[in-house]
Amino acid sequence: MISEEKKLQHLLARAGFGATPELMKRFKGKDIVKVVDELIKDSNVIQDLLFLEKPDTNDKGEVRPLKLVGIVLKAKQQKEQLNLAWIDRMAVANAQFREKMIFFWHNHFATSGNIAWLCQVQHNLLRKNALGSFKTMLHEISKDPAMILWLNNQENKKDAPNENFAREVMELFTLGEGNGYTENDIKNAARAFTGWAVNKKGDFEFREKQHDFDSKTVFGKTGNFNGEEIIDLLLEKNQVSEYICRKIYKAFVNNEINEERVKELALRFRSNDYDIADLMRTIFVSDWFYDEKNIGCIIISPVELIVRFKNLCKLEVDDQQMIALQEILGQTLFLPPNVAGWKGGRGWIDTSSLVQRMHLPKAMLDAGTARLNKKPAFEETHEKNNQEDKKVKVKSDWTKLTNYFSTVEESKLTEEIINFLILAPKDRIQVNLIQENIDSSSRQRKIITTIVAVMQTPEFQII
Amino acid sequence: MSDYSRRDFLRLTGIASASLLLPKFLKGNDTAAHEVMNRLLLQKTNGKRLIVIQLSGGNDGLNTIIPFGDDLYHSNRPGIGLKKEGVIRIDDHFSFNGSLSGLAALHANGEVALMNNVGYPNPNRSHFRSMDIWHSASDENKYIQTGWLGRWLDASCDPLNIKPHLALEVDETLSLALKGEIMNGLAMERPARLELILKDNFLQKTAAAWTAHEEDHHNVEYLHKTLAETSKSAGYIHDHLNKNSAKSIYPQHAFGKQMKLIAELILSGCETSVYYVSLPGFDTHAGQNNQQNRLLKVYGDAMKAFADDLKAANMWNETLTMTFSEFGRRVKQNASGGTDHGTANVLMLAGGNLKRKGILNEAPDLSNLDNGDLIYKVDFRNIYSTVLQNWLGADADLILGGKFDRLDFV
Repeated sequence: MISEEKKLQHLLARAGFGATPELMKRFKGKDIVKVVDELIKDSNVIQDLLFLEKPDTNDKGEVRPLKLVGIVLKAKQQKEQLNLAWIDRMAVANAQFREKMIFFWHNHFATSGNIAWLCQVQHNLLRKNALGSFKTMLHEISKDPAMILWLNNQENKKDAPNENFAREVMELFTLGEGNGYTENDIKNAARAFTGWAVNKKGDFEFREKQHDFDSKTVFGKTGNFNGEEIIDLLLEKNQVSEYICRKIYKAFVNNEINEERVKELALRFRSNDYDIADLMRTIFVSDWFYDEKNIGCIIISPVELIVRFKNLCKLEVDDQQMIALQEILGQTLFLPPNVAGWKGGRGWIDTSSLVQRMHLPKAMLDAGTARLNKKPAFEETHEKNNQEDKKVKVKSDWTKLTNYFSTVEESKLTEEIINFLILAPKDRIQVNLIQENIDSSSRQRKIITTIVAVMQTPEFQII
Repeated sequence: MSDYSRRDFLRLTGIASASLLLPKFLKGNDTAAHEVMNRLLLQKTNGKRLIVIQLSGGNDGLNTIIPFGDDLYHSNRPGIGLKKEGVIRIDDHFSFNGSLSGLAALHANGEVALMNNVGYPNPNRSHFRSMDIWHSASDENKYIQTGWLGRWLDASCDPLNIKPHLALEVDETLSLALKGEIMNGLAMERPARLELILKDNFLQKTAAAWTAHEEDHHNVEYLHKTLAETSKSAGYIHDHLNKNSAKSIYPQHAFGKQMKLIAELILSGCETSVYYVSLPGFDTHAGQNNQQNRLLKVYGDAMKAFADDLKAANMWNETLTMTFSEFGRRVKQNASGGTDHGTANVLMLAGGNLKRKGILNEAPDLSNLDNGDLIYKVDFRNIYSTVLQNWLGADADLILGGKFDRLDFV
């Protein structure tokens, strides 16, 4: 029997960034359906991330070529600033559910690029559509300047079609690899997207002269299709809802797919005009979402782990180190490994990243012993010869958690902390080992060191 | 029965990836059966070592192994083309970049092989994507999220006795190349870093408490298992590394230190079969020669020091180094005294036991370009296939997911 409290923690871990003392106080005892609706309501507010200012333009509203060089040179630094702004937003936003969905879509439409401003524009596009209609989002992202540049549609012209976008929109964004399209479909669809370009203002522009107006055959249908029509043709295919629902199921329910559930969800998704909020609500209010096998089974992503530490104990490192931390753990926002996004699941875990993950709570406790060094980027020379480990100032604040457990009886402390922090099966947790590592010099120290030991268990990495 | 290699066993039983399926054989706790299986499957590394060196950023191959006798080289590169005094002659056509005196010395001993025009179809000019393709050994339009050496580890490691350190990357984080479907290599920038796990009492004890639950596929089991393997590999490296075993002088540069560490691990008798290391900084869009020559000097000198150390210990014959970059650069220099992202490139091999030496194939054809870029002639996966099968004794077709003709340099 799953306790109501466990269900609440499970929901908060999946629909947001995990249970916190505040959220537990707010929702404890409430009906889970009500909690779901409150989470959705909290996320109705859309607040753009407006960190970077639009680059200076001339009187025609165009970015000067020289300026553009500067923008590209600053791209890395600016993307990092944007990254940090988003991490901060994730940690403090009331709209936790929306942030989590944006995070999902950032991995789905995995984009990076040389113009940070356009990354921000795309980010706000995802922000706006994260809980709206997938149909609208797909149409908009196909005309998104960052996407056009990222997948070479800028070079997709009538005389020399570039198939990159046409291929990925099918293979990665809607149908899945080899699932319901042919190489010929890609070739013809690419022709429909010719002339979809970005102008000097940084906006989408349809370039008639570069567009191929001739007849195309896609998915067995022939016509003078334009890009919009190709996207609509795609959305007519059942595979799209199944592909998206499978991906959502993997990310929010369980890596191991239940095909029957996915089919049910997909049917509802497409008959509801691809309404994302409705799809997610359906999942979160279903009984099966709270089945034991679906609780505590997903390896938390690096970014979620960082946000969780920020939420629970105010993890703070300086800006460059926050970027380094993401790199070492294997996920840097706005810098997906490629258009397929991060592999996720067990792909997060290797010998190096697991130890770093498990070391982090200890570093926070000891304040200042974490050592982070990142790989140089391709563009950097990075003379590492004399560079030794930087000692990183890792700051944290445990007041909130110690207060939360302050009234718990001594004998139940470890158990309560485990119950609060761990969703995974607990049979491998060695309580005696945790207790061996506790500093009992004061009540507060005792609580903090117990929390740290529990955070150092492999089980803490699973939500 | 004990004469069966693990590979033969896999072939005989027709199992594609034993690592995936093996635990199912071993249902129950029949220790005698375990022991037999263990003996049968005991990893037989063939004693050979592969060191993969990644020149990150896109090394300009035409200014590395220079087609000096080709007039088109000089006419395309009036500013950055090397002059006679800056090169070391190989033959009428080719010269080494003068900064590669270390490598040239190895070449003079017949210990270097150079493969021109290595690449893949429809080359991608993004650093990230092209590096991905090289790491995963995928087609240019496929996304595979495991690496070729990670899959080698999958296919070579006894699932009952997993050793991440068989494939070791000398770096802070693990590259895609060393990530397998089931197993991952070990990343270690410097041995002191192992203390993160070795000196953490709680992590050590958690790791020590792990026992295999073969039927348990939950992520909890996976994390405990990974922690235990990491701890074991960290302990192995810590116990085996003799830090003073390398005697050569290595360049004062991170790459020099990394190559020295690899030499020390080898000289200490570590069982690691694959080492992986990167030298970044080759993205020379402007002011190329200063930067590239400096880096090539570090590379060549480190190679020489490394080879000398291994020769002194009689271990160079079992060692093969393979140096690649995610792409070469354009034939024509740009307006900033540099070169932009290109395509096919030279791949450099070195070792004491090469079957073919020197220049292995035709020179880059500078008169027949695709939009100003070299056209590839050798798919990089032919090289991988050769190295995996002929050198490491692994099943290359299985690991690469297809047949790639093997070449004859080893």
